Amino acid sequence: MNPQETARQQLGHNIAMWGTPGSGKTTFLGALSIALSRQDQGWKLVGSDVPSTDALIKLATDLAGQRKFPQPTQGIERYRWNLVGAAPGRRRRRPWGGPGPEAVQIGLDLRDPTGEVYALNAASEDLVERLVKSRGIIYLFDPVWEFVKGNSFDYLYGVLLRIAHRMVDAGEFSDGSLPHYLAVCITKFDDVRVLETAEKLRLVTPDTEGLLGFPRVGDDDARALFRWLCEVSRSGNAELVLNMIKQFFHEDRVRYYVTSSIGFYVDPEFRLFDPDDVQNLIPDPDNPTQMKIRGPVYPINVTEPVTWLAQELAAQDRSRR
Amino acid sequence: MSRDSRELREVLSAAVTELGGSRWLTVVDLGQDGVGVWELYRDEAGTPRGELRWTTPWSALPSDDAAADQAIVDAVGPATRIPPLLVSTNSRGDRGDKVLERLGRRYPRAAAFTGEHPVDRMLLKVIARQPLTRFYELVALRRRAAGRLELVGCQLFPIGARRGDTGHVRVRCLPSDARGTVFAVAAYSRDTRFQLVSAQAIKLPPGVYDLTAELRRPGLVHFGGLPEGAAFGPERRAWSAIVSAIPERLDRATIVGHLICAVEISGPADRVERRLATAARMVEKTAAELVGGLKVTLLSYGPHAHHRNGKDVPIRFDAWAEEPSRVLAALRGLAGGGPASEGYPSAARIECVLAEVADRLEASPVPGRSALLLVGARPPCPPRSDVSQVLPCPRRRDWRVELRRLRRRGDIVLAAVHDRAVQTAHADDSAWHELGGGPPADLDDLDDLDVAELGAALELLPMKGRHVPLPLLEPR
Ligand SMILES: Nc1nc2c(ncn2[C@@H]2O[C@H](COP(=O)(O)OP(=O)(O)OP(=O)(O)O)[C@@H](O)[C@H]2O)c(=O)[nH]1
Ligand SMILES: [Mg+2]
Repeated sequence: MNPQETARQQLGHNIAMWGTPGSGKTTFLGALSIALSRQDQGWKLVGSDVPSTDALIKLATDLAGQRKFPQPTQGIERYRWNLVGAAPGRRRRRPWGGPGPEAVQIGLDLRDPTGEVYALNAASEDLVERLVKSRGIIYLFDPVWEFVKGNSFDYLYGVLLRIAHRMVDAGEFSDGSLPHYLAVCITKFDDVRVLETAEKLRLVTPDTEGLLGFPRVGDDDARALFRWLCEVSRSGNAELVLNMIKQFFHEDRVRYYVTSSIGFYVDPEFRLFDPDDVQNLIPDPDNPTQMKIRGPVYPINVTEPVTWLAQELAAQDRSRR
Repeated sequence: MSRDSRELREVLSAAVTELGGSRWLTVVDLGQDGVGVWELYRDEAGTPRGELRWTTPWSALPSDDAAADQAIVDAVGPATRIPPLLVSTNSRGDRGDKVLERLGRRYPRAAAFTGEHPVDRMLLKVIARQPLTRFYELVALRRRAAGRLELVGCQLFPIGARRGDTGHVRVRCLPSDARGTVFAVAAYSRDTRFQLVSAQAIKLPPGVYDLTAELRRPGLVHFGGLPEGAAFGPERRAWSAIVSAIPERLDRATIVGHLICAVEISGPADRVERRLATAARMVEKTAAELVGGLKVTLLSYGPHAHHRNGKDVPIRFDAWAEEPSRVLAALRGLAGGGPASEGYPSAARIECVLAEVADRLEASPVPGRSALLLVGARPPCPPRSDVSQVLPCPRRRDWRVELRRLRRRGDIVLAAVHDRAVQTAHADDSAWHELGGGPPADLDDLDDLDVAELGAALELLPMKGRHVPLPLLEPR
């Protein structure tokens, strides 16, 4: 490993969160470690420096313990976390009794800006610079925001063009696409409005694998749901979001996920999902204008986009080596 | 030849008894100050009446005897089958007696009297002492099948009844308009038509009254047994107008009622008190209008316990079909109960209220119609998660289903008073529209008129123009 690569390994893969204000970026990151521990597939999230560790603890405990959503982000937060997993086959003891394989470790260097920075003409050079370097983007598309405001496009267009501009300058836009991997996450699937839309489109299947039987939208259908949500958007401009993604990214570097950071309501006593009572939000008794999380947090499709990006970026590194 | 006062009274009395139809009697009154010509007759209702047709002071009478006589004769008019009665009460001057003498010659068949008492007073007495020549009846209403109202007479006095006689009747006064209930007396005999004798109106609280009718004189019946302070006023409407104001039918609800007050007691204490006060006003108002006929149920409710560790407070029935006074006391008790818990702010368990009221009405029916008055701020819980984002009823009750179940009974009506000042998560109050069967009344904007209207909507108080102008006959 050359020094440059070691440094990269330490810094981890640059992944940036992208989405309109309030689209759920910070909540998503808070749900990540909860999701990993719920899945119990051997992956865990650990901080790689003290502030990042503190942040990891706070984000997760606020969400699962306090049942509170994070405050709107100010500026840009940076979290340096490591996704640590056991290598396949760790349970089998090696016949010759040697040490087990090294645990797989993927560094994540996450940037979580406030959605405000993506507003038209608001992006700083610094932000654009960071996005150029982030080869993984988690783009959170908030259908609720799109129902109500219908201007997600405005938060994508300007910054995307400026990145493209920088890439052209750097000669990395030769094939007409950005080199980034893009995880498009439709957020707030637990919101009845989103769930009902998906149900009407007959894109929902019960999760037969999970213990709870949550409704699910498969990854193939996620794209169909995203297209539909763009088509029915308030402004009509959301269709352009779809076109932008098509124009600027490699088709095989884009994946769609239908996600929820908090999941559907599960009765804590019976640990059962009830299709008649799905909402996991409740007005905060201390401040009824704010919403709180009602029951336990069962994130949906939160780890999948992150592990996908991490693995793709790690694979890219290996092939470059 | 003249006769004295006592005889005069007897003759007058006999003559008045004889009156009727087109027979009338003229009395020439040669009095203290002048000459009067009275006409005595019976009106259409058979009531004897005396009317002063012509009068003149002595000074205005021509001084020439012949001219003076002629003036009186002209006033008497053409001779009738009954000769006039000539009376002189002019004890001081002798002019009266002289005229009496001369007139006696003009009307040879006329009876002539001298006396000391003024004729008008004597006439009044004579008429007042006349026995009735027809039955006197109170005009009232009777409820027939299907609530149809029918005009009936209830006998107060028989033929022959005299001044001072009394009759008894039990009536129920129903809510009336501003003029009040009309007490009309009619005269009736086998060969005459029903004729109105008198009509007076009085504003009385609805309820049952045992009345004593006293005959003061023919044509004048006095009613006793009314609450203190209540006074009769003249009723000037034509009889036909009164009759046409009688509603065609009277639903039972107008008489017997069961008012169910369901009050939401969650939220700010001042709002809760306001809701309780409104319920109390409603109870008071209906109780006043339906004396003895109202039963009241009081229940209070709040939200479901959607919050973690929240206590699910059940619906509390503080009274079931009890006397209004008890419920008013219970309402005061609730109002003094201090602030209730806020709980889940977006909805309250109205769906459970509807279900439990239906259950109770099935288990222990209350006679008459029931009226459910909902007073609250929050909407009901939906039966399942929906886009309103209001959490569903933990028992998955559907308020629309429960509403239909109640309505299907056919013996219950609903009305709603919405507390708009309390902001719920959703400004949309369509649920309150559906519950109240129209735009709900606004808690902060409710005056007495609205309370009355609410009562009307609940069919506990008469609707506008649904007043009942006549008393209803009650069995004794
Ligand atoms: N129903 C639902 N609501 C969510 C979820 N995640 C976030 N929210 C809501 O979205 C709000 C904003 O979430 P954040 O995570 O702060 O969003 P953000 O994108 O970081 O916002 P900025 O930092 O202001 O750009 C929260 O307060 C919640 O009300 C989710 O999974 N389900
Ligand atoms: Mg944030």
